[in-house]
Formats: sequence, C-alpha cells, structure tokens
Amino acid sequence: MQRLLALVAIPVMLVVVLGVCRPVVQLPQLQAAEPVTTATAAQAKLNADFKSKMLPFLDKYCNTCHSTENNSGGISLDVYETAAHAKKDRKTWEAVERVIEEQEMPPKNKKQPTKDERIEAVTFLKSSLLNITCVGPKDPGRVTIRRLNRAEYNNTIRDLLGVTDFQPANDFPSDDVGYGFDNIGDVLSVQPILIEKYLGAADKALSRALAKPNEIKPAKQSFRSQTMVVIPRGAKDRTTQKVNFTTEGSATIEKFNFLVDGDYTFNIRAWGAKLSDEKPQLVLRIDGKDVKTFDVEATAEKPAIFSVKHTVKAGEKRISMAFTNPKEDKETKSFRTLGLDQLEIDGPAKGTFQQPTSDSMRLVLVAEPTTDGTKEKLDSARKVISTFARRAFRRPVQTAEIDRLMKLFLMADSKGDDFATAIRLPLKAILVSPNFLFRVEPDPKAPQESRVLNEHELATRLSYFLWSSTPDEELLKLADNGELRKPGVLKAQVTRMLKDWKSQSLTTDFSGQWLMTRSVWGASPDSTQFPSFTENLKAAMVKETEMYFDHIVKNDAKVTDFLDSDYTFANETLAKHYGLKGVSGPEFRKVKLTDTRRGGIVTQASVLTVTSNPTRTSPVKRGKWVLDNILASPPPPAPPNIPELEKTALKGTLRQQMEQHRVNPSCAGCHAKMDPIGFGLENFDAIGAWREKDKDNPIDASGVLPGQLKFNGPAELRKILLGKSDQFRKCLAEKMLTFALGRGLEYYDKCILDELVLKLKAGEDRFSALVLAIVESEPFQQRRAKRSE
Amino acid sequence: MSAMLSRRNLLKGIGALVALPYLEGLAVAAPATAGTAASAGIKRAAFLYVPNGVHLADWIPGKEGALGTLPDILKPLTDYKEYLNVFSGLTLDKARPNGDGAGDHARAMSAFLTGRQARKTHGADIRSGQSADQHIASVIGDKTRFASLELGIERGQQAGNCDSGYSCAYSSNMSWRSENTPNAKETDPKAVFDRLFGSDNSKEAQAAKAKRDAYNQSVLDYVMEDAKTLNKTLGAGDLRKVDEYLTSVREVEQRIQRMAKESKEEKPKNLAPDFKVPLVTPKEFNEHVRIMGDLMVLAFQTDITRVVTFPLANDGSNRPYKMIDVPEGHHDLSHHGKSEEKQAKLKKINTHHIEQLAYILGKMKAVKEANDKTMLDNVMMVYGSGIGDGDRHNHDDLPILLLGKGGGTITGGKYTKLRNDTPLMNLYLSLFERMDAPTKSFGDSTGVLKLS
Repeated sequence: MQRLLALVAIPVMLVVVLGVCRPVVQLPQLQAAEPVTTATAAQAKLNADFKSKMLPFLDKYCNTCHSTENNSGGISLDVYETAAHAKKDRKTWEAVERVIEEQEMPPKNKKQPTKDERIEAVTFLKSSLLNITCVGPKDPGRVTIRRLNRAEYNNTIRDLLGVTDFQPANDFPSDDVGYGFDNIGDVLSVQPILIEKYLGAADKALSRALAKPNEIKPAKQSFRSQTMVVIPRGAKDRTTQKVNFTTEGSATIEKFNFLVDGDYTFNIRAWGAKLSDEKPQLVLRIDGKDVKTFDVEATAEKPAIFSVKHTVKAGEKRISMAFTNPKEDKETKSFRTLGLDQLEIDGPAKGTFQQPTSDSMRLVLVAEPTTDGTKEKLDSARKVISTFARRAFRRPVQTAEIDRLMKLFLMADSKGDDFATAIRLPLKAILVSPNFLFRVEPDPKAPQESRVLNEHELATRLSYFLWSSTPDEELLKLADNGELRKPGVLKAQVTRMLKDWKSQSLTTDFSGQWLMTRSVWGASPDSTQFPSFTENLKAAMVKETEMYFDHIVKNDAKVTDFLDSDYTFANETLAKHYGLKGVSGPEFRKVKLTDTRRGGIVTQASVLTVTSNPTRTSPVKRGKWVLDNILASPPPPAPPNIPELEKTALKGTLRQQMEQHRVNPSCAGCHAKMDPIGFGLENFDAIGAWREKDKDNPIDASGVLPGQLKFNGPAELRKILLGKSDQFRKCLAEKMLTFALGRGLEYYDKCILDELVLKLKAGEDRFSALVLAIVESEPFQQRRAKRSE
Repeated sequence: MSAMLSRRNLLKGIGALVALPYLEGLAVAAPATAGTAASAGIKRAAFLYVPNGVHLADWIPGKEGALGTLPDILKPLTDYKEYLNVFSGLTLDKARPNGDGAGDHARAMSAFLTGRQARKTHGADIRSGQSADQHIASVIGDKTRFASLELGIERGQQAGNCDSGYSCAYSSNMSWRSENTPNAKETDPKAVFDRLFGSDNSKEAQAAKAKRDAYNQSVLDYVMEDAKTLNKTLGAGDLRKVDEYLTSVREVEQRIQRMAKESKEEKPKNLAPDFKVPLVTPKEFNEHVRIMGDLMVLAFQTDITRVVTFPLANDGSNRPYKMIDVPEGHHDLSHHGKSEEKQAKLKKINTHHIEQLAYILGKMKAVKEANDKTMLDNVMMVYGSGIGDGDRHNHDDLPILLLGKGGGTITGGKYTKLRNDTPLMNLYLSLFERMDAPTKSFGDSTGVLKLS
C-alpha cells in the first residue's frame, strides 16, 4: 500500500464523512477585481496577464503531458494562446485551477511549482480569468424538462381531482436526488416501472374521484324517548319510556344528520291535560329556533300525532320538543301537563332535494348528459375533457388535442360503458400524457437564444416552487388573461401563495431536504445507548424543525432566525428530551427558551441526529453540515485515495484524539474549519440531548475558527454564525434557487446570487423578500435553449 | 424455441399446483414433457451487491483450486460449495478516481455492472453506461414478460448529498437502462408481488384486467403520439428525457401485447402462487432480504423474467446491524483503521449478508426444473462489492463470488486467483455468452474470462 501521507491519526475523523479534505494552497485573501475603466482596457490587461503569468507556468509544469501531441487525460493546454480563447473553455480552466490549488497536479513524481508560483497562478485564474463580471444581460441558464416527482405528483392529483388522503406516488420508486434535492430535471428519469405505476395510479385516482356518493332515498326514522335527552330528568318514566312534563322541560335529539337540503316532515306523538282552558303547548325547535307550536289536545290513552313539514339545510342539527306553558293549580293540586314518547322524521320529500355530489365530481364532471341524446353526450364529454385537460396541462389546449381525446371517449362509449365510466378513459390518458407528467417549456428555435417564459409556464414554475403542485384557478386565469406580470400582481400572488396552507410543501419538500429532516425517519441510533429514541421522539424532532420553518414562512419572519432565536416549538415528548419545563401534552406549541443551550436550527435535535453516527456523535459530520447548509462554504473535495492509516496509540477523548490528528498539516487545512464547529456542538449527544460529559470525560465545547474566532459552547458558536449572516443569506439563496429552478447552479448564477442577497437584506431579511427576489430573477423568468458549455 | 415450449408446459404444471404452499409444493419435480426433456434449463442471471467492501482476511480461501474448509465469512455457503466460485484479482478500474477525486462509493456502485467511469456531477448530465443486466435484457428480454427486474432493500437517499459531488443516482442505482437512465429499484415486497402477479386473481378481476389492458393499450398509443409531438418543440437535453419516456411506454405496451398473446396461447398468464407476501416491508434487514430473495426466485421460477439485480444496500450505507449486535453504522465501521474490534464487527456484517445469500441458494436448490436439474444448476449469480477493503476504498482485488452452474457450463467448488487488475467486465462477458447475449466488449473489458 502506497502511503501517500504519513499520518499519525485515527481514521474515523478523516473518513466519517464521505469525502475528506485534501491539502490546499493557502491563498492570500483575494482582492475584488480592480475597477474596470473600459471593457477593452480590461480585456487587454487580461490578455497581457495571461501571457505573462499563465503561459510560462503552463510551459514549465503542464504542457509536457498536456500538449496537443500527448493530450494526457484528454487535455491539451498548449492550444490556448489568448485569454479570450481560454475563457471559451471555462470547464477546463476551472479544472486547471482546482488541481493547481489542491496540489493534485503536477503529479508528485514531476517537477513541482514553488508555493509562490502556485499562488500566483491560482490568484490569476480565480480573480481574473474565471472572474465573473455582472454587467450586461444575465444568462438565465437552462432547466431540463422536469418530470413531476413523487411529492409533486401526489399534490397535483390532490388539487386536480379534489381527492384527499390519497398519496398514490408513495408506492412509486424513489426519485433520485441531485444537488441535494429530488426535483432536479436532470436526474428525474423515466423507466417502464414508472409508466406502469402511472397507469395504475390514474385508475385509482379517477375511480376515487368519480365514485358517486351513496344515493339518497326518502326514509322515515323514528326516535323513542330512550334516545332523547330529557330535562328535567325526572320527566322520563324509565319503565313506560314515556315523557311526562308537569313543569317546563324539553326532550331533545342531540344530533340528527340531514343528508341533503330538502323538506322533512316531523311527526310527534303527544298528549296532555289542559288547565284553565289553556291547552299544553308543544314547541318543535331545530338548533334552538322555533319551527312550530302545537296546541296539544289528546289523552295519554289515545295520543295524537302532531305533524309539521319544514325545509331544512343539510348538516347535523339539534332537534328539541319543549313544553312551554306549565301551570299548577295549587288548590286542586292539578297540573297542566304534556306527554310525548316518539318523534319520527320523514324525508327528504320527493322532489324537494337533489342527489349530492362530491367536490371531486364538481371539479371534474363539469357536464353530464341528462338525456340519452348523442349530441348532448358528446357535448358533455367534450366539455369535461377540455376543462380537465386545461387544468392538467396547465395551459390552454388545442382543438386537435381534444379531438384526439374524444376518440378515446368514443372508443369506451362504443364498448357500452356509461358516460361516467367512458369519460375516465380520456381523463386517464391525460394523466399519463407527457404534457401532464412533465413540466413542458418548449425551446426557441435559435440555439443560443433566451426567451421570457409565457405566463402559463411562469404560473407553473411559481406553483411548483411554492406549493409543489399545479397552479390553481386564480393563477391559471391570470395567465389566461396575461395579467401575471402586471405591476404588483406577481408580488401579490407570492404573498397569497405563501399564506395558503399549500405552502406547507416548502416545509416538507424544501426544508425537509435542505435541513434533512426527511432523513430523521431513517436514522437508527443504537437503541441500547439511546432507549429514549422512540418513534414518538423521532416524530417530535421532525415536527419541531417543520414548525420552526413553517413559522418563519407563515409569519414572514427574518431568515436570520434560522441561526439563533429565543424560541422553538415543542410538545411534552420533545420538552422532556430537551429538559424544558412546563410543557405537557402531545400538542406542539411555541415555547420560549430560557437558557442559551439552544436556538435556531443548528441546535435542533433533528439536525444533531442526522449528523451523528448510530453510536456516537460525529463532530466532523456536524461541522461539514454547517459548512454545507448554513455557511455556503463546503469543504474542498477529498483526496482521491484515502491512504490506509496506521493505528497508533492516540490518547484521551475523541476530541483530544482529533486534535492530535490535526497536528498533521495535511489534514489541518480543512479540519480546522469543520472540527471546531462540531466541537461547539459536543454538548449534544448523538440524538441531540444535552450532556455535560461524554462517558466519564467532561465535554470541552470550546473552539477556534479560522480568523481567530474563539468560542465556548453552542451559544457563542451561534453568535459567530450570526456574525456570518451574509454567508448564510447566500447559502439559503443558493439552496432555494436550486429548489425553485430544479437545476444545479452554474458559475454564471453568481451574479443572481449576489442580487438575491442584496434584495433579501433590503427586504429586512423577510422570508418573502427572498422568495420574491427569486421569482423575479432572470433564471426563474426566462430560459435558454442550449447550454453554453 | 424448444426451451420456450418446455417452459410453457412446465408452467401448466405449476398452474395446477398453485394451491400448495409456496416452494415446498413447487419443489415437486415437474414432469418433463416428451420431446423436450433434453432441453437445457432456462438460464438466468442475477447480480447481488453488498456495500463498503468486505473483511478480506476472512473471505479469501487459503489456497487456490478446490475449495476446502471455507473461510469464516463464507462458511454459511458450505452446503453449496459445489455451486460456488470464489475469485480474487477482479478489478473495477472505472471506480477509481482517474482524476475525478473523491467519491469511491458512488463510483463503486455505478461501475459495478457498467465498467464505466461515472461522470462526476451532482445532477446535470448524469452518465454511467448500460449495465450488464440491461445488456442481457436488451437481447433476451422479449422472451419474458419483464425484461429484467430491479430489486433492492434501501430506497435512495431522500435529501442531501450522497457522495462527494456525485448525484445520489450513482450510489442508489446499480442497473442502468442506458448510459443516462438508471433503473429504479423496488424495495417494497408487496409492490413487487403485485407488479409480477397482480393483486387480485379472481375470475372477475381477470376479466376486468383484459378490458383494462385493452384500454391501457389505447392510452399508451395516445400518449406516445403526445410524446412525438412534444419532440418537435423541445431542445436537446429535454429530448433525452422525453425519449426515456417514449421507450418506457413502448416497453410497457409490448409487455401488454405479449401478455395478450400468452393468454390466447393459453399460457397460464397469472401464476399467482400461494405466496404470503407481507403487507408492510419487514423491519428487520434479514427478513426483508429473504422475502425479496423469495420474490426473485419466484420470478425466475414462473419465467416472468430471467435477469435480476439486487443490491443488499446502497454503497456507503451506514446501516447498523443491531440484530447481530452491531449497533454501529456499517460505513463508519468499514473505515476500521485496523481496529480489531471494528474488523470483527465488519466480519459479522459480511457473514450476516452471506447467510442471506445461503438462504436464497437454498430456495433455488429446492426448485426442480424441466431438465431434471434445480434452479441453482441453471442460474448464474454474481455476488460482490465494488470496493475491496472499506478502509482503503480500493477497487482492485474485489470480493466476487459466482454462484450456480449456468446450466452445466460452469464448474463450482473452486477458488480462482486471477491476475490482479483483471477487469470484472471480463467475467460478465463470459456470462453474456452463456445467456445467449454475447458481445465483443463491455465497459472496460479486455477479453472473455474463461470459466470452466
């Protein structure tokens, strides 16, 4: 085994993350490019620098192998004579910069440049040749056509068909993840198994949506006094089951469900005794409102039926029968009384009601033939198909498209299917069509041309960004009328959409992947060491982070709250885990944090758990997570071959061992950035519970980050993170732009990112400011046909 | 064609037995029909994968040639020694960095069946190469209802980054339809069963199914036309995606046609065996692997497919194996740094995996086939990892087993020490020949590995 680096180390910290840092040239702080007097002057300087700084370096160290003749690794660098030529092959030069900076090239057995030579070459490449100037029109980039992913498919079916509690895509194979998200066009592929799933899911969804609710028929229902609540209680005779009022009282059916609006007849069997020539009065009330007052004249031996027909709205109602005019003759000791023992509800009366329809049927079955006529049938089918196709394809549909769908209807119709069945076939075809499954954005004919998206495409991007679902009628109408880009409209729509409950998808899909709460479900801490890690606690961890994120979205709070805060969300399970007092019950609520242990997202149990190993914490993973997801400075890539490491006697705690390992200069570069962050979080164990000791060793949660940023413990670490809020803004902007566009970011997106950060700051760090800035940005509003690479 | 005929007859035989308990009932020798008795059994290829390398010290047999007492990890295979070929020296050069830096896990998995260098990208323009199983499927896939079957245990990662700049597509997929399209795998046994055999096999459901198939056919015709229309308006990268869609639709349509034909020819179309498929995915790893293994055997047995891929985990998997007292994550442990304790635990995991393999071999051996042999005699199953030693992330001298006798074309019971750096693809070339899908080269192959 070739030992590349003579390391005295324990290997765990090097390799716990899939990817380890390699040594890099330590560069002086790069200066911003000098102000440009004129474009041509800048070009001339660049060319001169290329000739004087770069070409000699290449000749000396690279071109022996990377020549036109030898073309080692398929790269020849001797062909570039001008900076302009080099700029055209950006990818190549980015690679050149990387291998020089990371000392990957020249190979170890070849002549090596001095440290200063390396620095000069890298500085030139970074700050001149590869530097981006943000003047002139921006490249919007190109999004590869996106197939609906599983979450989007579920939500789209939900909104399109009005079906709830139905997630057919949960049975689909997982969507692959690229750039940290599962909505990236390039990695969303289609295989036969998916087509099978789409066929099956469309069948299930349509039969669910178009299932007729149970037909309602007129019926009689009788209630004896057993089912009535009688006040006063003594009025009910337990043996005869008759109700006899001598004082004021009532007998009530607490809930009766009227299935539809219609006329219902109420028949009450009652009797009574009059006093002072006044008959006992029986009042029928529905939900407390008097419907009818009867004067009762009948005897207990021969009760009479008192009836009234009344129009009632559908729903659960309270029906009561009250005795309202009791009287006692003290002299004769006689009473005015009322008795009753049965209520019958008869209805709805024929001709006074309509069969109910479901939300789904109203949404989808917008027309249905009422006669057997062929024309009416075809007209209805056409209407259903064109309405549904417009919604499913998220754009106006053409006659030719509808004609083709009509053929499917006719085919099913000819086989004897009734209308409601036959119509399913064209609807199914729509749900399997590429126009539905893909978000189509046709390309302009000229390959390099950018174009502004049409409003239907924009509405679609918007709704899949904020709702992971199809545009609603309001968005579609705005697009139909060409009003989406009118002043103020886009902003108003963004505000409306963020407030809508459907924006919960930002929590489950964007935040679930950015903060990796989705991975909590698959976490498997050692149950012996962490017996408290139950399904309940797992769910609570996820819920905390979700509610935290959702709180920031719904209240349009400052995004810097992600870094630190004096509140979080907890229920009893989580509060116990955190050691918070005074939180009981399973419901989550906003809780004020009274100590400084936690705050923001980095100290939430979900994050701390997914960045741990099953049996222990991993400071490296935690540090890397923060660099990747909070500070937008992922550590440099790992060395290609991780050297086999020698096991030597390292002493002390995990931290002490890691520090001994970091004495080695080859590892120190990157681990100096990652490890201290992880150390600052060592007070949290592998499932995010607070601890003062690791086994028997007290926790040392102090650290120093590059730039002599000293801290001790998570509270001070969070202060440092807050101090880097510009980096955080950039990080959040990067993640959200990636999610919004469904593509990885390219070098030319740097200018957009700078703008997003500025706009976010100008918008007082409000969450919606970032969302709006993204929605208004060139890459969101436009597309280019061909990649520039 | 005679093989097909005999298969059909065999299937009739099985059809009569569906009420019997699975396998135990089917293990009864199906009578070979006169005239076809001489036919060779149907050959199938399966590829099983384990992540993070193995503890080689307890894997490599002591000496070359005939297998004596098996090394500790392979001990569970003792009963199947005559079906076992152990190789060392096989190599995946294309899993090495070759200038691409870190990402050995992603490369190991994506190169295992492709022999191609995965393009290092988080997502844009993913590219590996057609995988060995798909090569076979593309040649013989039309003989069966499913050209190939992709099974798995772990779903793809749902968030975050998988391995150092490589899209998760590389480390969660082993089978690639084409160089740009990975084949998604199924991890839910119920879904696999329903896909293969249908969830409801009552007469009414069968009648409804015929109608649904006819309707599906017309739906697929319609959407194909849609896709073709789309093709006219889309740019380069998008076309590839729509093409993926189009070829997938075609494949499903052909499958429906094949099934319709089968039913006309009275080939039993749905041999839903009396097989108890769990409604939810088993929580325990070993149970999950076993049930998926059962399904693989079942799919072979009913000749629904002849090609299966089955990774036991995604590469880089950090799954703990609590049931065998290994609470630490597998990946974490695989960087053992020569710690004896960690190596002992790795050995446990490796052995646990081999025990599951032994279970599957047992099931295959219990299936009697038309040529009076067992399924294990006819199958060719590769089992291995794209990483040698997890601590070194090396891609040479890989732990590779070949199981089964390939219809009598392979002799087992030996350990073959190949020259190190022999491309793994060379082994596949020799399997391709046996699967009637020969090709001159594949991935980084340099020639056909001679098997005897």
